[in-house]
Amino acid sequence: MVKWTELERSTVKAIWEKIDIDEIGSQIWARVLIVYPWTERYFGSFGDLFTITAILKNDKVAAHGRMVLTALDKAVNNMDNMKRTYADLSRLHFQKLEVDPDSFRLLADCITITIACKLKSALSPQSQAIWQKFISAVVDAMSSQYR
Amino acid sequence: MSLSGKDKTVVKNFWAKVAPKTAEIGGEALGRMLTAYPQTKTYFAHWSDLSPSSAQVKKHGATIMAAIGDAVSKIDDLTGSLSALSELHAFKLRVDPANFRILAHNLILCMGMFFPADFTPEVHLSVDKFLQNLALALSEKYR
Repeated sequence: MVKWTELERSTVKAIWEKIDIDEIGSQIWARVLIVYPWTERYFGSFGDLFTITAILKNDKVAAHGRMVLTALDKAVNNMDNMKRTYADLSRLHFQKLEVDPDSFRLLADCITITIACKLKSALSPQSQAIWQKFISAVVDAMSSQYR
Repeated sequence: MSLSGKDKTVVKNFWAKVAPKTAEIGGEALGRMLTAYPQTKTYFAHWSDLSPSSAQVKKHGATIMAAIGDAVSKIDDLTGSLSALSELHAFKLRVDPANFRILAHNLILCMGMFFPADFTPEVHLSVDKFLQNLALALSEKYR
C-alpha cells in the first residue's frame, strides 16, 4: 500500500481543487487521442475521429473525458484505498473493455501535462513530483486486476 | 514513427515561438526531472546542488536546449547531426536511454507550461514525435 505524508495529501487535494472537470476533462481526452492515435482503437462508437479538428469537436470525446476525471475524484478522496476503490473499474477495463494498461500511463502523462498547462508555475517542481506519485498510484490501481 | 513534412514544419514554427525562453525551459525541465524522478540524480552526483534553483541545473538545462535547438535546424538528418553527442552519451556518460523519455516528458510539460496557448495537441503530437526521434538518434551509437 502506498504511504502518503500530510504534505502529499494536501498537495494533491490543492491541485485537484484548482481543476474544473468540465473544462479540463474534454481537453485531456482530446489530447490523448491526438498525441497517441492508437488509443482510438477503443472508441469505434465515437463517430468521427479522423482529423484533429473532428476530435476537438467530438461531443463523445468531451463527455468521456469528463467521466474519467469524475472517476479520478474517487482516487483523490480515497488515497489510502486506491486498489480497492478501483478494483471493479480495473476488472472492467481488463475483461470487458480489453484496454492495454499501458494506455493508463499515456493518459496519466496527458493529465499531468494538461494540468501543468493550466496551473503553469503554480505547479512547482515539488508539487509535480507529488502529483506524479499520486497518478502513478492510480495507474497501478487501474492495472491491479490485470491477471 | 518518423517525422512527416508537416511534423518538421510544426516543430520549426513552434521552436521559433519559444526561442526567447528555451534556456529557461531547459533549466526548469531538468530541475523538474531531478525532483520528480530522483533516479536521474545518479547521473549528476558530481554536482553540489541538484535542486530546481541550482545554477548548475539551470546552466545544464540551457545547454541541453541549445543542442535540441541545433537538432531542430538539422531536422532532416538527426542521426548525422547528433553523431558526436551520441558517442558522448554512449561511451563517456553512459546514460541509460530510457532516461531520454523521462527528460522528454519534462521538456514537454515545461513547453506547455510556458506556452499553453501555442502548445496545442497538434503541436504536442509533433514535438513528442520529434523528441522520440531525437532520443533514437542519440542512442544510435550505444550498441
